[in-house]
Amino acid sequence: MSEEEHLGRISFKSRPEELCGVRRQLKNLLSTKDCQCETLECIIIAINEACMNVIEHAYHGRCDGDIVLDVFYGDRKLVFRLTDYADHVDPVVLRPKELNHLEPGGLGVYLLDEIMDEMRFMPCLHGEGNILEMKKCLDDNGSPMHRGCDQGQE
Amino acid sequence: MFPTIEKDGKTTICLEGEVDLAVSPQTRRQILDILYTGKGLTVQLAKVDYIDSSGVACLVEAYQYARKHSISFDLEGVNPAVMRVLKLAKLDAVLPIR
Amino acid sequence: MNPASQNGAVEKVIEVENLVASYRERTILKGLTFDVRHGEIMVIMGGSGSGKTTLLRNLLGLMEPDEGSIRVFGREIVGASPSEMRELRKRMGVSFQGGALFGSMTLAENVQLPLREHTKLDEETIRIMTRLKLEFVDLSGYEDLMPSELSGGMVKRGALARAIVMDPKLLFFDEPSSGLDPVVSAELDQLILDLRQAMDMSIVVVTHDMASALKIADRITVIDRGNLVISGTVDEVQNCPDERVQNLLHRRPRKASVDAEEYLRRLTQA
Repeated sequence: MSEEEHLGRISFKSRPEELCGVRRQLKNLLSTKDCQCETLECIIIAINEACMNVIEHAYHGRCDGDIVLDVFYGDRKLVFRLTDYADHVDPVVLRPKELNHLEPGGLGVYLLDEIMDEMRFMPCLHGEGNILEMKKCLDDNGSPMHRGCDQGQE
Repeated sequence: MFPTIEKDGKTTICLEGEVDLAVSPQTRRQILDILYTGKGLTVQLAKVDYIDSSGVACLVEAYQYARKHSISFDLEGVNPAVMRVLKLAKLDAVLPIR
Repeated sequence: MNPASQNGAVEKVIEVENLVASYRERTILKGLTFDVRHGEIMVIMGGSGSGKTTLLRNLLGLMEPDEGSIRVFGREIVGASPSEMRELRKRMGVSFQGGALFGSMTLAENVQLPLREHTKLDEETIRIMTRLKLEFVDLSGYEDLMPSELSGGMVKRGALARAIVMDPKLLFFDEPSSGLDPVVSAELDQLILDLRQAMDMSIVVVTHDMASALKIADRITVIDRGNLVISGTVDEVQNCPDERVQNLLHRRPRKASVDAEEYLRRLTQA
């Protein structure tokens, strides 16, 4: 059974202008978990893309929707749960495609999939809302165990 | 609006700060408007701290437009923050980086 | 092993004919024809972007195809009314990718959900049915835990318990092994086999995991970019010379290089 520590919650409205602040808050939250700088930057890219998806696909650009990002840490894994209260989103929208199958606008989901180790989409049966859960494994040094984040260094 | 520099019939647009969903629609318009005049364009990215996929999409669209209309287009001053995203999107070998 | 092969006349629980489906302007399924027989485990396989999830959504009546016919238990579901679909779904169970247990409910409440939605059973009956199913998936004693307190494998088993709580005759399982380590994944495979044995179910499993497919399938349907490559027994699939099948069998990695020209065109096409 996993013991997860709740690192924090970031609540914001579905406005593109909020994303800058979300990235900053997320950086602060994660800096307590000394993950490597490169990993941290990649995670921020991924979460930003996930938030963009919610604004564009769940709220369809509406600016007054609520979005909640919860961050947990446990078992050397960072877990991000992104909740919205919009209509159900077709999970197909969030199904990553290989680059060779990519369509316009599909870049964000591709990045998200490339960086995160696990993603699952949980539409709520009752009422409104969607939950996207993303996991990123860290090794003992706080560096990424799997993929995605080791490519950015020049 | 990002500052632009005109030199030898070529325009350089200097993007800066965080090129994300909040600014990418205006950025796209500004970049495409320059290309519509038929002038060559360099996108200076040295002062960009953060770019997301909507910002990257602007660059891709602009490059494709420029190629189609035989207008010169390149990216300059690609710093590690920008390169990280371009590499993840496997665009580092696709976009014309100087 | 497979009850379907024991008698001559094979009862078909799903018959798909010339199924064409698209998502926005893009055709995802390009004319699929195959069937699922009573009592068998049919594994639908394909790589990422093959269309297997779209196929599953069509089989569940969650998406209207452009062309073709889908009969489930002999009833045409293309164009079926919502009330007809509701009736049909009572005989179908679905375990979605990722488990999809609701975080705000305990494990038991999650498992009970279909019973509360579709039946008017009394509390005691619901409680006993829930415990029986949790027992079956080896989660008894965990009733009151929240999904966040369970491991990945436990969440999958919990979702399976919910999918079978109504004793469906047809069970759909989307990507059972995704996100699980090999040992837990193998346990889940065994559970699927036990389930078919114990409950006389027909089971459709959608996966990209060939090891799991070879272990549990009676028959396998391979799709690639929306086309049906083969639908046959495990032996037939293993001996199929088609390169796409062999790629799946031998887990050949996806192409690492991207054609720049093609990539740009795809990203910018209207």
